[in-house]
Amino acid sequence: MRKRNPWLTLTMRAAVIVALLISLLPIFWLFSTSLKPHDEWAEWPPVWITDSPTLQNYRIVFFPEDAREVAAEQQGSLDYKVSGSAWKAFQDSAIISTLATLLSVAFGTLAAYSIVRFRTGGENFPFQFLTVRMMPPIAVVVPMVALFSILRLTDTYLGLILAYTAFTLPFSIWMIRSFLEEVPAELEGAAMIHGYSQFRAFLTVTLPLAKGGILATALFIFILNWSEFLFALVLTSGDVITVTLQVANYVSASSGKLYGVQAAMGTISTLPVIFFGYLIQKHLVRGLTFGAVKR
Amino acid sequence: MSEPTEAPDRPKASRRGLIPFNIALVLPAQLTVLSIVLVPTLMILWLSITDWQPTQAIPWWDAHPVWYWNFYDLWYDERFVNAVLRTLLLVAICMVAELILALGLALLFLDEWPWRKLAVSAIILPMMIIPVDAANAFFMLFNDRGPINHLVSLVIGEPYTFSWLSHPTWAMAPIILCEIWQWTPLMFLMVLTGLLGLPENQIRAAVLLGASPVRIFFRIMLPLLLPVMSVAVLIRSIETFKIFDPVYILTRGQPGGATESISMYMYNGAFVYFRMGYIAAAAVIVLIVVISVCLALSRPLKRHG
Amino acid sequence: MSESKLELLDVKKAFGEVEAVKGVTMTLRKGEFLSLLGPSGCGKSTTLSMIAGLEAPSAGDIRVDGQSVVTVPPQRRRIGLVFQDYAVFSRLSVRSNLAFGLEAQGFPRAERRRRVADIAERLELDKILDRRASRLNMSEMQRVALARVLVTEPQLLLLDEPMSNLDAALRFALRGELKRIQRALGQSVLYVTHDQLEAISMSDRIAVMRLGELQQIASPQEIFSKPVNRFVAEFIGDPPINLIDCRVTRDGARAIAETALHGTLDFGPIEIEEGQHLLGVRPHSLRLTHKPGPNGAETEVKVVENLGAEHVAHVAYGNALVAVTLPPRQVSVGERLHLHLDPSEIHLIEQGSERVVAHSLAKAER
Repeated sequence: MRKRNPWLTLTMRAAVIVALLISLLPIFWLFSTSLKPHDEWAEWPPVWITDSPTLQNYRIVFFPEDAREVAAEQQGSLDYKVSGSAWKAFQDSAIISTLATLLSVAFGTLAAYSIVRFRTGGENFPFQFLTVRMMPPIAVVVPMVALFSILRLTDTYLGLILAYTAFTLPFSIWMIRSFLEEVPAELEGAAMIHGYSQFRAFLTVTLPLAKGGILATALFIFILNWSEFLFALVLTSGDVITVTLQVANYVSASSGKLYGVQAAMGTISTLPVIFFGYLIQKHLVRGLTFGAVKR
Repeated sequence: MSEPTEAPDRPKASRRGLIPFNIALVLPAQLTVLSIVLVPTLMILWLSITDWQPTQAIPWWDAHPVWYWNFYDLWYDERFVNAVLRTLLLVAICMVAELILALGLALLFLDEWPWRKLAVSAIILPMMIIPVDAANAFFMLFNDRGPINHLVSLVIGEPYTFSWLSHPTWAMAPIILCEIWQWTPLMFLMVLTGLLGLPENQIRAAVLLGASPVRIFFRIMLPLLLPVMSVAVLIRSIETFKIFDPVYILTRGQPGGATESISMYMYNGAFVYFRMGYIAAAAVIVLIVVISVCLALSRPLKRHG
Repeated sequence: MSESKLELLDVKKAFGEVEAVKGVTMTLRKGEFLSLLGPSGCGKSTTLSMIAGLEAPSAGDIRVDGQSVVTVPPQRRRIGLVFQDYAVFSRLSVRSNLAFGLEAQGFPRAERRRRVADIAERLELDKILDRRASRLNMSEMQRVALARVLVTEPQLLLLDEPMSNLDAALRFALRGELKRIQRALGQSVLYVTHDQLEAISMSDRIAVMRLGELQQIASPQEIFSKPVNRFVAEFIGDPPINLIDCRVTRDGARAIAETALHGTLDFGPIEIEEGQHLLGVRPHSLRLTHKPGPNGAETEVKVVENLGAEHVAHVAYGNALVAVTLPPRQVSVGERLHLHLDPSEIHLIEQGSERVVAHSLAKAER
């Protein structure tokens, strides 16, 4: 608008830089530690940027059986047998997250469409789904453990997939609803005049127009599933292991100070989330506020 | 053949078949939610009046009822009460800090400057990280030989190796900071969206009437932002109330339950001490509180539109 | 007559490659009601923003009371602006809206109260002082926006299309109201509008703008009867001016226009090239009679439009039609009548430059 006081501008720029430094410090530390050789992991004063970056930590993450070899090269006194290969964790997480996302988005799209087009259940109907998100998962986890053990769902893909589907449904219904509301109903009406059934009009007219939003929702739900920890923790007992469980295993093994390996696992496990996160950056706020704040 | 009463934007679902079309559409979602959420919720109502423990080797439906005694014990369970109070305090601290930081940050990003878009992307990186990994990073940052202590040493000029994570009071600091660090970006994005959507002419009118930037901010912009901020705080405080991942990774509620949030307390009770019936009673209390808080908050929120 | 309140000296504004305002020079006298009239996108709102200080001019000078204000921040210009959307502070009460400027400028509490009560009474806002501004209707909002500015006694009041959100009946009432308040306060007003009726009915003078350039600045009467170019002639007047093809030939110094119906018209000694040009004739200056007379020619009524209070007859003129306004129910379609020109109201518009080179026929012809 008008010229500003140059000192004010300078202060504002400086504040942005400070904010950036604080935002990036933990991520920088995670990444920097993942590249440190074993003897720098717990050194004092701490090493900020290593002089001899190495990928050995990533190697241990994926090939824990090589750890003994690596350990022999170093002091050899470390217990590296903390956990199985991260491959298994990535594979399990990928299967569970993908299938749970597909179910959640499919069910969510149908329900959202019904709510938008027919006002099904009236004003308050969509809100009952929100209550699912409001209650702390820990409150239902105790009976779920009991229930799952009777149904033999404990420690299975299906068990986690069902749990994730149910707990992400509020997000998919509300987010997809906000996208579907942007597609005018008249378009379907036009298709139906030409003899299409309601459902076919939905599939051929509305769905293609909303597919960008539905895809964004799917990525968003995938992020939620990939990041989930509590259900994975209580509903599995070793056969199924997600990336978040793998991360937690390394951290709890850190009494043996496996910082480098822990950081390596942390770095690669979060990469897909960051990638998808930036893909749907403009929809993130809409997602996390259930469509209440649009951009 | 005309249907004058039919609103064009609300077609009626066809009634052929067993179930109306629109009901059929919501059925998969509704059934999933009911079976995975409602059934367990009903189960805790039963469990909460029993002393069931999986280690007793009797099925839960045969559990021995103790009626109201779980609730009675919880009332005098200092660890539970403290966990509740601690969680509420944590929510309050996080909300105030996140809101102030987000407002301050958003004001920095109001007008155009070079690299602005890139800077926004960098600022919101924390919210893209898996919460477990964020806690993982803070675990290393606040290690007694970690970079935070190193920075403190540099400032005070002598080696500083405080054990943050095992101190009964100070172990809360990394947990709270981790939560604030991770979720201020979301608050920032919401506030920024709100600020950019403010009616520009009201601000211009205030400028022309001779108001200083500070007066404009407090008298015009802040009141206009109130609806967006209340939505943001409502959503964030519900999420923060459930805090579990950072606590589990950073301290697991240790030392001696001094850093337990409600979720952490219940996890420890149910899966470390296996007191399922007792924790179910705690869950009932938490659900009642959460639902009533939501009802109380949603009314003024709906009024804002 | 009186000194100038506001002067614009060759003010320009460019947004990147686009020149929104291309060198506007004009003066607003103290106590004057001046309208800035033009179609949307003509640069009038940008001009207003520059005067208020919301935009900085790319070149030129803006002076208030002879002092340049280009470097003065908008907060200290003491120029009031009523926005098109009124920009009423929606989260504040009407009272707080009115007191806002006084508070910002540090007036003592008692003085604030007195002034707010005073302006509220003048603009009939005293009954709704405690109402939340977001619950007001359009006309109340408009009065709040006006009162909020007037209460600070601005040097100059700028109004940006303040009527465009109102319905016709309300506009009519408020036009009179606004004029009355302006008179009573002796307030200098710059009124931006695209509605010629508002400009003509309220203004002391009108400045017509087009594509970032000032076309003409004059009293409403002069703008109407002596437009400087085809744009002003067409923009002002309802129904719009008739444009009739003509062929100009020179007879010595005199310019003679040849028309399809009225033969030749003598414009006297004026500068114009020979060739095809246009005549501008207002529907109100034409007359239809049953009997022949001077400057008359016989023609046929093709269409009659009923506008309620008056009718508009479209009569054949060569291959074209011209519009004539007349009292209701005097002519019917198919009737043959005589069309009379008023020799003192015929504008000759030069093809190419589109300037109006003559506003009437030569005296001898009358």
